[in-house]
Amino acid sequence: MMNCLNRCKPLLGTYVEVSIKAELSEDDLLDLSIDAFDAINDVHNLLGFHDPQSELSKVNRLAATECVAVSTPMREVLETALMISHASNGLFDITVAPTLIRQGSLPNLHQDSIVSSTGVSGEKSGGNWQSIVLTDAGVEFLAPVLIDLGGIAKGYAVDQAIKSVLRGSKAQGIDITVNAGGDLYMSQWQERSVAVRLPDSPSSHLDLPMLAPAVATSACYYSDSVGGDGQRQSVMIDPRKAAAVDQSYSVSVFAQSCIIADALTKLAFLHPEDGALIQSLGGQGLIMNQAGEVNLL
Amino acid sequence: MDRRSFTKAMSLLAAGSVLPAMQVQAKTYLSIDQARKLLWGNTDMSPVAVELTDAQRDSIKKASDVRVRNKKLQAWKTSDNGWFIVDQVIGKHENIDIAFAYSNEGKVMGMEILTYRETYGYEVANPKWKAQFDGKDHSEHLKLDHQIKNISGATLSCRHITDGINRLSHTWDQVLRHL
Repeated sequence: MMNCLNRCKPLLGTYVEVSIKAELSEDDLLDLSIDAFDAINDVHNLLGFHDPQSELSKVNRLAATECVAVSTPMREVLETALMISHASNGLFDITVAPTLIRQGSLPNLHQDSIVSSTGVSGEKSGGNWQSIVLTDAGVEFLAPVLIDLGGIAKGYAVDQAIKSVLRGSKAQGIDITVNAGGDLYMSQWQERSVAVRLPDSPSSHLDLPMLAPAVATSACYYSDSVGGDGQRQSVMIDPRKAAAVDQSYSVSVFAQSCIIADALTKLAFLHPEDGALIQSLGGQGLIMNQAGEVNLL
Repeated sequence: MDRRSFTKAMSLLAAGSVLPAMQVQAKTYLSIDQARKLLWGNTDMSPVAVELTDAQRDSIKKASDVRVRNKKLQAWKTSDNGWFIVDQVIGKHENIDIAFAYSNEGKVMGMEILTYRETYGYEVANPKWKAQFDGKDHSEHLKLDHQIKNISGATLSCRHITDGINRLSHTWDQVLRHL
């Protein structure tokens, strides 16, 4: 008998939904959903910026002074991040954390000496993604930087959850969707649609066809933090200016994996003119304006 | 994908679903029974009628810095003094029913979101919108083949849940632990 289960938990700083449909008992579906949430919880605990005990916080504290050994998830996320930084000539950059701390979007967990040398006090820092060196031994910073994986780790967590369910002995015929605050993966995506929120009124959405198993969307509508001037503060940082960018459009990127979709939305948002770059990295971008008009990038 | 096949894929969607923007819906996840099974397994528990006094609400608000909206708490006490609580968290954009498991030391052992309703102010004021939830509790949870609508958009923060946990943890400390 076909059963379905939908669960939702607060993780990764957002709401994570796991929906599973399969010819399995309700208990089996619960077990599979537990595997999926465990995988996401692992990524949350390793790669979270807000937790002083996370592996990421350890890297941020120590990597400027010594080579820090890293876990497989940390290595996989850093490899993908640096690959995209390289391909985009730094338009994607995981070292924008100081700008986010400066505008109050991320907590300041680290010693003031580390933070000030990365330019958090206002001046643009000398370090960027090129200061991160990943070797077999681990990760090292050539200049003081702080890493935030907020632009890529959610997509990775979604991929890990999907893998943890689909590699099991009961994987045959499972229809699973994992949605981490809009970064989502559908195992059976063909001829399905996804609801994409309108840039100017997030309570409304448009149904768009899924073009690949994974999709992610970037826009400014939930920017809750407020800057020094009392204005709403976007968390979308342009690394070229070390400053927040607020735009009235949203971008969605479809890809074969959610980590790629997640990361490429940052490129698509900052430089929507370059659809060829998105495609060369395995994504298909869409841009939606306030009127709900959609165009391929 | 080229422009022509994208246009074709768009046209395959149900007629009318593309042009008028639709309201984001309320979503239903686990029933209370499913959440209880996930969080507490087969542990025995019995319902406890908890009604907070005004003084207790003030005191919890003072300790947690979170407003206490409801006097009544939907709570069950387990055989070893743990708690299963179903409560509501109201945020800027959302109105969420959550089931919590608290240990006999007042620690959050787990939580499950039961329903999630987006609110943008005007829906709450709209009697028609409100009516669809009135008088419904989770015992009415429909065991249909309900498909959750998959929505993509910039990340929605869940910090109001943190406020909810903070409020309930102080509720445990000041009230439940003495029951």
